Amino acid sequence: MNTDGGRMSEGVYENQVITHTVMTENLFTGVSIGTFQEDFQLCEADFLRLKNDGTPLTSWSLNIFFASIGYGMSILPKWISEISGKTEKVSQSEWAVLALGLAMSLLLFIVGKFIPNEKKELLNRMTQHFKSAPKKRQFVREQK
Amino acid sequence: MITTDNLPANYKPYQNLIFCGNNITGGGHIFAMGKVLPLLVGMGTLPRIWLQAISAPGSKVFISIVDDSKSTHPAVDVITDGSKVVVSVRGKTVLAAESIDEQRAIVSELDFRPLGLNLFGNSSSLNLGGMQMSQNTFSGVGVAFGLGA
Repeated sequence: MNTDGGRMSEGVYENQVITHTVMTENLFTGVSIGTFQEDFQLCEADFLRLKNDGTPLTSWSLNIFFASIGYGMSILPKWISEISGKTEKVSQSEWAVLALGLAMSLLLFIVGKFIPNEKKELLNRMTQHFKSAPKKRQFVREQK
Repeated sequence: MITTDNLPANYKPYQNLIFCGNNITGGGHIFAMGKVLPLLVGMGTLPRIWLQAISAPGSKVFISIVDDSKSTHPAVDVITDGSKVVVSVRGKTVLAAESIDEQRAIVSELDFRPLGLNLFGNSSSLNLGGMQMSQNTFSGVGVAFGLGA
């Protein structure tokens, strides 16, 4: 018996000579192979660390830095007079205060960089995780 | 993706393939979804297997999991035993093929359910989503089974 192929429904087909492609339907079960990377386990404490600024030293360093710039601006007219040969001069103590301000700002900045910072540490751990966590292929089932 | 337009260079179909109790003669492809060929069984000392699986649920994109009888996926193993090649996924056999001689091979075990297709069979019959086929002869077909969506 010849079968013309086409769409065949459920049933048993035996001992036939088939000369055309047999079309089937509804064979997909919704399972597949996918590529997945392990999640980073972020607990609430870590989340709070991320929301925080980390160390206050860096922000203090910036505050003092801007204050020093302000102070520098205020003594700038004296310095301009000095270099243009007028009598008014920037005093040594004024230079000292400016230098001290900048030095303190720099010091706080450097210390802030070296002090262990929980936020930075956490961000580093996350970077490391996503760099090295194996990507796994696994079978996944379609969500209903 | 392996398609009817993109066949592996070293693939030569068997002129006589006994596929789960059904005979495919003349070198026709076993399955096709559109132009994609999820399974190829090619001639060799041992049958040469190419197998593709659906890459994501609901997707129609296939990725290679066995390439010329070599696993390309960590969950898939290809074991040869004498003249027999067995492909398993997570320890479950999805395909067993054996060569009879240079022109003939037999697929005696098939279970694509772990791969997302409701297809399974043994040495005597093939079940395709409720349709059971045994001892049929496919003669001169380009593709024996077209997989509809």
